[in-house]
Amino acid sequence: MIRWFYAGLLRLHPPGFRQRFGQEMLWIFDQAAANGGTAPLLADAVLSLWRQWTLRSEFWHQTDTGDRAAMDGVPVFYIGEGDTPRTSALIHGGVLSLIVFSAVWFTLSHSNSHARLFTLMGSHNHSFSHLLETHSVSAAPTELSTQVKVKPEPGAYRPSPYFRMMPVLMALDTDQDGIISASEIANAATALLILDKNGDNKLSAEECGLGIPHPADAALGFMRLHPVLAALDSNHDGEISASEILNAPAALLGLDKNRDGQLSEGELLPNPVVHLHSLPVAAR
Amino acid sequence: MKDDPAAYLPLSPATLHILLALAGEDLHGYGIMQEVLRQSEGRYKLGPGTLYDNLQRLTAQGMVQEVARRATGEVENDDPRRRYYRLMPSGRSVLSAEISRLETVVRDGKLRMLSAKPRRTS
Repeated sequence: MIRWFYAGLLRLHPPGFRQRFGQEMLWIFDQAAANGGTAPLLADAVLSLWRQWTLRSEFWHQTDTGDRAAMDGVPVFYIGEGDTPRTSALIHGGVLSLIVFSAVWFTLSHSNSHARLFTLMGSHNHSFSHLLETHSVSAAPTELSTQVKVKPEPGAYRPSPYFRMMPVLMALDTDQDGIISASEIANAATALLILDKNGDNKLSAEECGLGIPHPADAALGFMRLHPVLAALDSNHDGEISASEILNAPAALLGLDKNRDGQLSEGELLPNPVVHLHSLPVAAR
Repeated sequence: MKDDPAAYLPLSPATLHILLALAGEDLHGYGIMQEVLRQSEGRYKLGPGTLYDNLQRLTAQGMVQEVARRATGEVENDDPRRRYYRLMPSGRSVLSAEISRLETVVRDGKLRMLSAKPRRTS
């Protein structure tokens, strides 16, 4: 009963003082109660109540956020238990949330490029090569599946390093989509003749991408290293002759391991291990 | 916090005893009360209301700082409601100035008492 009365007196203290010292004063009261003699504490609490409300107005609203030093490197954490936000803060927060929500909604509903916005938000790559055009086929009301066909924008495809290194592949891949399609295979002869710079109706290793003239062994190794060149150079003499150019579609189809009628990069990349064993000893 | 410690003098008995209690080690509120009782040989009982009123003011003036827990001992028996207080250098300066002032008072008082002529009684 006396403790309840003492706690009531503490509760009547100014908020700043009560929050900061109330629990500890109650603890001291418990200690004193265990040793007997709580009456002086009640008198002290009444005197403290009068003193805090009349003489200590500067501390009325001072909350327990003062500096508290940490000892032995132990961090100090403060708990805002019991603190409720002010009504004005709640109103400001609500209004701010509404403004932000409205701004986002307006942006999404009135922006013509919101799809691009979302795409850019998900990528740190500033290149537009990853922006793909999508075509969705509208589904019947009873169907729950939607088919989405994705294809790169014209000119947006960036050839892989291997394609860029190989003029033959760049010539064959006329639509620059990274795949030698069936129609491109069929037109391979015409495409290959573009590489015939000297007009001799055949393609040397240099014209196929070796660059400056090299010894015969190096040219032969180059033609054998790359599957597309090895396939086109069917007699393995180190150059693609006129007849081999004409026979290019059939030769290229020999590389179509998965029988899908077209050649992807995976079917065109050289196998370094196989190549090492196929090289002449002097060229290894 | 004023730069000159003398600006806080003279200290009230409660403030003086609290600063003296904290001069030795960091103490919690109840520990300060016990230490004040011991220093005064049981003649000065400091109530919690007076104690925390002074601690509130001394903390605001930067003479005392609340610390997370005591540096050594009693850690395992700590009540979570306990808070420890530490005398800061500025508080120590004020306490030192107050002790010097009291020393002067005592010395002057002794001299005055010694030089005082006994009054004649007719």
